[in-house]
Amino acid sequence: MKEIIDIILTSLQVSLSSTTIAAIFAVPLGLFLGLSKSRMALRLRPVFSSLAGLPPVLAGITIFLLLSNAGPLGSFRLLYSKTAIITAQVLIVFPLIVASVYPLVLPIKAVFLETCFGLNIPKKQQIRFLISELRYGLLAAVLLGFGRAMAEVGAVMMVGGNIRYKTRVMTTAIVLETNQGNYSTALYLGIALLLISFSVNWLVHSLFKEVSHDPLY
Amino acid sequence: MKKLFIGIIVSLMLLSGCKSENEQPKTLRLTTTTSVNDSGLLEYLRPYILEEANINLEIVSLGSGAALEAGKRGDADVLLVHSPAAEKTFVDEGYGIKRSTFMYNFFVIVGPSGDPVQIKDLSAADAFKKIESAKSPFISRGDKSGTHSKEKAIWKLAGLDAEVVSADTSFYVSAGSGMGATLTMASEKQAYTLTDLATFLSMKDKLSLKVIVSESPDLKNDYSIIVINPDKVANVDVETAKAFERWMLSEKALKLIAEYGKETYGETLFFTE
Amino acid sequence: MIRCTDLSIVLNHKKLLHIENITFEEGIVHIIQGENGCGKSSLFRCMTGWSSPDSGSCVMLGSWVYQPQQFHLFAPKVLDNFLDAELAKQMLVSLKAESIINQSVKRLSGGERQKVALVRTLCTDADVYLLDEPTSYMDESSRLLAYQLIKERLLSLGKTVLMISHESVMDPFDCGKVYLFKDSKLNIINTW
Repeated sequence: MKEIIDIILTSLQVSLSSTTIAAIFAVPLGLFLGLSKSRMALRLRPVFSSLAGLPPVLAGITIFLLLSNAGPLGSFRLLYSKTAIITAQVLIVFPLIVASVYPLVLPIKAVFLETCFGLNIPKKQQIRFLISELRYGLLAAVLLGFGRAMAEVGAVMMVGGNIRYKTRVMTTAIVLETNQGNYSTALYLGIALLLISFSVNWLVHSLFKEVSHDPLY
Repeated sequence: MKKLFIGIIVSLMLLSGCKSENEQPKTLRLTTTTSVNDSGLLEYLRPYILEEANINLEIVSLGSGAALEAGKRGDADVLLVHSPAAEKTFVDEGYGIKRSTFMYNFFVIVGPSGDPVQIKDLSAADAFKKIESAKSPFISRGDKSGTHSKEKAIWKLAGLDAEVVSADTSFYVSAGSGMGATLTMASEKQAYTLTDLATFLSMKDKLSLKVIVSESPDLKNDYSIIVINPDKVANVDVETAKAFERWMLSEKALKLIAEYGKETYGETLFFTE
Repeated sequence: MIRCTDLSIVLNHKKLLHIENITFEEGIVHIIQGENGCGKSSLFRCMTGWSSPDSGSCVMLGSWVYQPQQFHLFAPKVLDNFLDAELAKQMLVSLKAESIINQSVKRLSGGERQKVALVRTLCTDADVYLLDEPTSYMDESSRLLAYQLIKERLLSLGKTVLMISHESVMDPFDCGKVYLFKDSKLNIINTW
């Protein structure tokens, strides 16, 4: 039982770290891509949307090859560590958050910018207004990323190695227990995972409900 | 071109005609461990089994723990496994009719080519003792597979408690993965691990590991066939399972098994008594 | 002082408007009228520099504030739109809309939204105020209150107001000019 709790805590620790790191960079980039009129931004938007739908194992193999002994970052000996899992998850979650953030900006962009222009509101203040305006949507995007990080199996197995007491997370533990024929343990872990992802999704859903009531959207 | 096409069609028709003359082959659900499946032995035997015993194998490969569990649940008619202690309990509890141990091979201890703690020429138990006292990194399958049970048995032989050893994270890494992933990890971490020879040979080129301990009697690995007991488990095809067992124990089958691997790896992968 | 010289705007390969030379005097209200799509809003955008004209130029001396026809209210509360809450409250009181100050912006009606936007614009200090249909969704009495407020807060302090409107609203203001867009030209049709 203690081990199961440890596994759940590892899962939460790893996924929270990766989601936080990804969000710190992805939210500003998403806002920028939404607001910018530059040609580069126009081109990058579909790129991130497609990256968001890419199979996570691709992130897994990329990180594996980078961190493996034979790879360019092999000397840091990061393969099969929590850091490796976090890195892979950041790679998976980052485009997902970017791709969920920029569409939030598009519908209000033109009117928002013209209003701010008309009132001579400084750029910094504009960004503050925009973030406070979109905060539910932004939080929902980040939670979506967290849900994806928690649910990831393949990439986490590849780069984390499913090491007991170290890099074993809920999803890889479920795979292992199922392979061993310990279906009841697998099921308990599955239920715990379900509860976590259910609460996250419930949160996302209620936040989106909040957003959709708003005639501005 | 047209003639060729017609020729193909006609010969296909003839072939299918031939087949329907024979009795339809029986399907047998065989669950085996990943290491057996990865060795390719069953694919090598499959055409002979179809030809001579008229059995079409449906192979599922799982870790030994899950394979035995599949037997209990009636998801398999027959098992081909290699964890003697667990098998004994399985048969004693009445899930299997009996165990027929029909072939064996040897596990090997692989490690970095420099052999950092000098375990060459030791027995497996002594080698494990030395690895433990030197706290030299060791990767365990940690998945209750046949290989994992063997490893636990060797710790016991070495006079150590496998539970205590496995909790010592300063050198012991429980990978919770299949043999391939475990070997990759051992190679990446330059650690020792216990593996079956077949999987190691098939991946050798991609690993920076070497066989360190191989010819120790305590590394012997027995494979058994267990026919599932229809009195205890419902909906299993005991007749076909028994026919399969009979064929596998036949002289011809044992001879085929003993020859397997010589061509590909230059080494015999499985021995028969 | 605002002066447009040889200003022309082209939309979809058609000349939307052409102004040879016009100067908007300081300290009075200028009411600009014209059919839908005649280029009134485009004129404001060119004056402020939000968009650039296809030829000619527009010079505006002094500071300005511009309230577009389609404006955005900052969420979630009405109060979030004002830097000076006290001042805003006073103005909302004179618009008889003080009760909405603590409301959520998403619950506002079209007219109430315009009141919030107008107050927000008037709270900002500048020399010139460009208002694009600021009262179109308001009811008759609110509209009169809004004009009263514009007069008190802007015109009586010597500010210049340019307002696009579909109504000739001369009565509330002491003096001003009414312009009409016709055949892509802007002509003065009334001075009082």
